[in-house]
Amino acid sequence: MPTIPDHSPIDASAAVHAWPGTAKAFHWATALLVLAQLPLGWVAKLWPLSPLKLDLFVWHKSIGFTILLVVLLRAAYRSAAARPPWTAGMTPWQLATARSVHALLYGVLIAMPISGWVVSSASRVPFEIFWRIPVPAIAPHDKALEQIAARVHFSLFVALCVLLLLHIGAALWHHFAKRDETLVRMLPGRRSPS
Amino acid sequence: MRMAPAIAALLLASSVHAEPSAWTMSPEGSEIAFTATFENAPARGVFRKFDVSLRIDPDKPAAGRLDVTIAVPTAEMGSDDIDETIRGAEWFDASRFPVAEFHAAEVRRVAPDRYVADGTLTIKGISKPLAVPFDWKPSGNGATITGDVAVDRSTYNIGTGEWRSTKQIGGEVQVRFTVRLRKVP
Repeated sequence: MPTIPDHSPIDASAAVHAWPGTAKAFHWATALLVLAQLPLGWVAKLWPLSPLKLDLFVWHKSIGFTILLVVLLRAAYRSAAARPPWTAGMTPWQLATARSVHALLYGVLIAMPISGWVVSSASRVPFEIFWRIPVPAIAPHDKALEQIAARVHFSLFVALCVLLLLHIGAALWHHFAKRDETLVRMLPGRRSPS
Repeated sequence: MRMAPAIAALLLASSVHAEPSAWTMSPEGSEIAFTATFENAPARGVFRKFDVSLRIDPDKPAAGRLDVTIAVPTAEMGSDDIDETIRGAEWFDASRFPVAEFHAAEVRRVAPDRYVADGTLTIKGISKPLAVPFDWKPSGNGATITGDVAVDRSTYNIGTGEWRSTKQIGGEVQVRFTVRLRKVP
């Protein structure tokens, strides 16, 4: 079978240093899942005890496990695949900040589901991913541990909000102030900066 | 009629022999457990305190009886939050109805070592007929009965209001028991 050429006309990398399709898919899948997950966790926590609250938590925990899986696969992919060069003209501190924020995003997106998994395990509330897949407990049944893990989970939530503000803010700054390709090369199906 | 006392004695002896023997529970090794479903995941629980007594002649079970009392507030499902919730008014209402009971004055044999006790189960003040099957295993001067029976929680008003819905918390609860018995001398 012939291999499909890397630079087909619809590929954005022909015009800018675009991210490969796989990287884009991982990025936007993560973005959608995380943007759904943050308010969902918040609402599930505050909702009064009711059948709906139990459903909201099954959704929250199931999406959390999905995020963990997606981010672990994405981290494996990123460590193996080549990335496009950094946007030209970035100062050393900008580069360092960008590297740190990205590394921290990966770290928090892995630590957060795991801390939630600890909360769920320590509470011993029965749970199956999407009502189908049983998951093992990774912590003993322990009220104190549950509360500590919940505090860690919340702290990571705050950290994630800060990181997302930096990440989205920087993308918009690159696009609207610097007018470079940073944002555009991650957009799906775009060929050149607008 | 000199035979009469002998016959009377014989009759008495045989009737004494046919009298069902009484058995009491040894708490060690005895368990009454239940499995509900929580968002489609099995949710297991046990009652920490209960008592079982049985009168049975394994060969003439009809005169037998089975009595079970359960301390409802001792229900534990392995999660503090859930344990607290199920004691509440919408579930067991354990402070108003601290005892669940099963009494059967009729036992029938359905297989060589398998019986069914036809009785009444009372939970949360509601009494309904229930047939409880059990296996009978004698061992030395003791015996073990094991069995399981499905109970529909709605029958006993367990889970009221919006919890009547069986989508999140299933309607059927499987009750399993293993009871070690000692013969009353």
